[in-house]
Amino acid sequence: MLTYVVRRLLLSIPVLVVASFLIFTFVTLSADPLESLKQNRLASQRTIQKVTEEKHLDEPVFIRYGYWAKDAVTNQFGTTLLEERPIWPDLKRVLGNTLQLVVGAEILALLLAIAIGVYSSIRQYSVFDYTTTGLSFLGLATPIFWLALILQVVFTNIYLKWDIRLFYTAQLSSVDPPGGFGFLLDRVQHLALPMFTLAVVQVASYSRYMRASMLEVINSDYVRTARAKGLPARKVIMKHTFRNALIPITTLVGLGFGALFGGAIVTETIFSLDGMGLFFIRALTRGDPYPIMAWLMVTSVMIIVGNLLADIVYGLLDPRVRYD
Amino acid sequence: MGRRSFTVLAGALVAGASLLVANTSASVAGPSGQEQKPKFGGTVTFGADQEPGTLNTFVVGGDHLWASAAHYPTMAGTFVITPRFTYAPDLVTKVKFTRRPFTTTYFIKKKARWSDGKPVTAQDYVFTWQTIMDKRWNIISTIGYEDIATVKIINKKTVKFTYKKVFAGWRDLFGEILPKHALQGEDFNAVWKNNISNPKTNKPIGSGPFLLTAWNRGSSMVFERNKNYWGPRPYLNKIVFRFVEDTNTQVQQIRGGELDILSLQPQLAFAPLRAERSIKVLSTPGPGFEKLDFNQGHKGGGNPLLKNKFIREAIARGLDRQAIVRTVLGPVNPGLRFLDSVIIPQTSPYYKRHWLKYSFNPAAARRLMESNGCRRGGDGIYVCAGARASFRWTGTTGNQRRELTFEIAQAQMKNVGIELKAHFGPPSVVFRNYLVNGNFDIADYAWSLGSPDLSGFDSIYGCRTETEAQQNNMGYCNRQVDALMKKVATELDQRRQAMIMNQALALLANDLAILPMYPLPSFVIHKRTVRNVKDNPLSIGVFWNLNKGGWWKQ
Repeated sequence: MLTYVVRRLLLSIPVLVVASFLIFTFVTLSADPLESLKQNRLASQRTIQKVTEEKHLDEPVFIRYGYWAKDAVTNQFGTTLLEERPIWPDLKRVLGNTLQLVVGAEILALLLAIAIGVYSSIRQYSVFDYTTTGLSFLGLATPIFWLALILQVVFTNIYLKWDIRLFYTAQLSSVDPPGGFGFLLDRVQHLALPMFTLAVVQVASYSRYMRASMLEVINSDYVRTARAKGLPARKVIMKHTFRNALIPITTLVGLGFGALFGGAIVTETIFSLDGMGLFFIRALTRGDPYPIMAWLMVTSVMIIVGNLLADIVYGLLDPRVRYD
Repeated sequence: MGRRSFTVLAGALVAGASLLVANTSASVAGPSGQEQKPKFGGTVTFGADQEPGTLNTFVVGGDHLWASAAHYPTMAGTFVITPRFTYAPDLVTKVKFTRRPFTTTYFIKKKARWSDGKPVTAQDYVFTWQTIMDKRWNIISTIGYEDIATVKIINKKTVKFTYKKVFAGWRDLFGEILPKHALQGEDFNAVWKNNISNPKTNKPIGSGPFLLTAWNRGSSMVFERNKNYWGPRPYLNKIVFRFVEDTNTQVQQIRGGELDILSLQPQLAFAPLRAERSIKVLSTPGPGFEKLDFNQGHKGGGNPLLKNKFIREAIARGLDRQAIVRTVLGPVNPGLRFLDSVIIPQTSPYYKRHWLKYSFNPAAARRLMESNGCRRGGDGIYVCAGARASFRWTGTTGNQRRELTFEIAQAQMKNVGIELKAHFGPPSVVFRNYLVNGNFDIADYAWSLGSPDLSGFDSIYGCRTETEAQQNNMGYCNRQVDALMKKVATELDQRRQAMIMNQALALLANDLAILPMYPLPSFVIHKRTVRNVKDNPLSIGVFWNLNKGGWWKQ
């Protein structure tokens, strides 16, 4: 197992290097951080030339990549190109904010999806099963941006009609949030809508997997044997069926968890949540490759680690699986 | 009781009841025609669609709308430009200028001071000039300042600058004064990255009615009342900028009271907001002007047919510009009219309708084409000297206004036998590639006047050389226009400046090098509970009156 893990990690390094070079090239070739300055008819040409030389903007891409790589390794991803703001403190901040959103959404989605999946499989072809199946497909088909906007409109209209502030439509917290429990409540009121938006699609997806996995296990020989032996239905489901049916879901969540660190770009943009997704969009809009690269490296590492952990957990859960 | 007594009593009772009702109504509604008295206190939340990276607006990286917006409440300047496009003194009581030699003398207000109590002095003016001209710093623009030859401090509150040559835009200089006592000796490229404060004390600093007291990255900026402000006390205690990227979210937030004011690009999606009772919409024609550029051979590009004036005139005559304005911007600004001139704003007393002779007349457009030998093909499109009258229409993607304008124009042009094809791209591609390389036929985009000063447009409409008129991407050159626009830059009197510019515009209109479309209106939405919000279509926007008390909350 250790050999397997080390080999996976070592193989990831060239993947990261190639991915980082490609992304750096695409971003630097497609955007010019001095674009708005060059469009300013009053801008000093001397200053533009000076900054171009200072920031190596006139150098070939691979040389500029070299400067970035040096900064990334020796200076915590360096600073933004023009404003020279350290990148790592901002990245740490937005990573923490994204974690609040996605972990909350994942927990909510898993709790609902597992319950729905289990009950649907037990009551296969029932009204509940058909209803949740239909809603799942609806959830999968619903565009996130549309759902987010609709939720904002609905809760704004609730406020306008009944003067009740159930949830806020954007940001992580109020400008002057109260302390203690009030702060927690304020945070929940701000995160509720984006969490629900993210969870809808995840519930739809996970519940389908859970249902399929439960049905596969329910119809297996050992479960039939357990029933034939006279075990109570509850024990058959919870002890023998449910735990085995969880294995695919566990690996699914593990595989997707790493990607979640990249941030839910659409959701964070619409709800103006200061997270990884919005960080990426802002950097892309400015045409600054340095924060984009930092975002990419953090997200890539998380995905690689997440995938590796999912494989390891799968091997631990299923003794039939062995890694060399 | 007799009948007469009863009648008198009943009448008195009715009269008394009427008076009571009238009084009650009057006290609820307030005496008609009178404004409520401004109240002190409260916080106004302003929606900002982008967060700046730095707050040093002088250096590269700081050329950001919201970085400038953070300076409007905090840093005073020589003048404030009013909505009427006039310069109102702010830090100064007056400025005197002489023509030969060209000098400007600033008389700083005695009471003008920084938030730490130190007075704003002539030294601060000198320091500002020296900082801008210091080659160590990555200053965005030195225009005007580089023409200053010498400076003389006459007394603590009076400073005189002598220029190498006449600079017509002098009123736009010293729009913000830097505090010498706070910034001297500092690395100017590195100051004000995260705040507007004195690096020596780490305390917020400013000469305006508010101070930036907190910047919660990714979330908000908080401005609190400057207790040491030397001008009229601002009504509000606090202004908060909240960063909300998505426009639809901003709209829901202002409906729901999470935001109080928004200043947006006008879009059709906002038109229904006019019907919301709790919201007021302000929209004023601004100095920005949308126009069509005709490529007459820049860098060998463009359709050769456009070199013929009759083709350009047929296009102008075939476009119903008022219909376009009505569709594209009417719902957000119902009274908006299309433009018949450029550069000089439509609301200016100097505005003249030089392009009036090209008003909408599709029959005249068709006559023009046919009288110049063009014949309509089987597809209804004219063929002129063997070439189809088919042109690329260049615009920027993601801009709903421009996309809609193209669709309307395409239909209108088809009616006069001219074909338009979409040639859209992202702004960076359009402005850094298509226009620069002459890879377009007709381009739809905008320029804007930053201030009442009209100089600088020779770089766009003058004759292009190796070093001059680098933003003339049309292959257009009229020596008279070139000379007149250069002369504008040396004319100090605003009225005479406008007169010279109008002479140039008359020639530009005659050549039909461009076709004005419409002014870009400002678009401000605010809750009715926020009072005294007055629109200013220039970049300072609604912040312009903060130095006179500003907004207040009901």
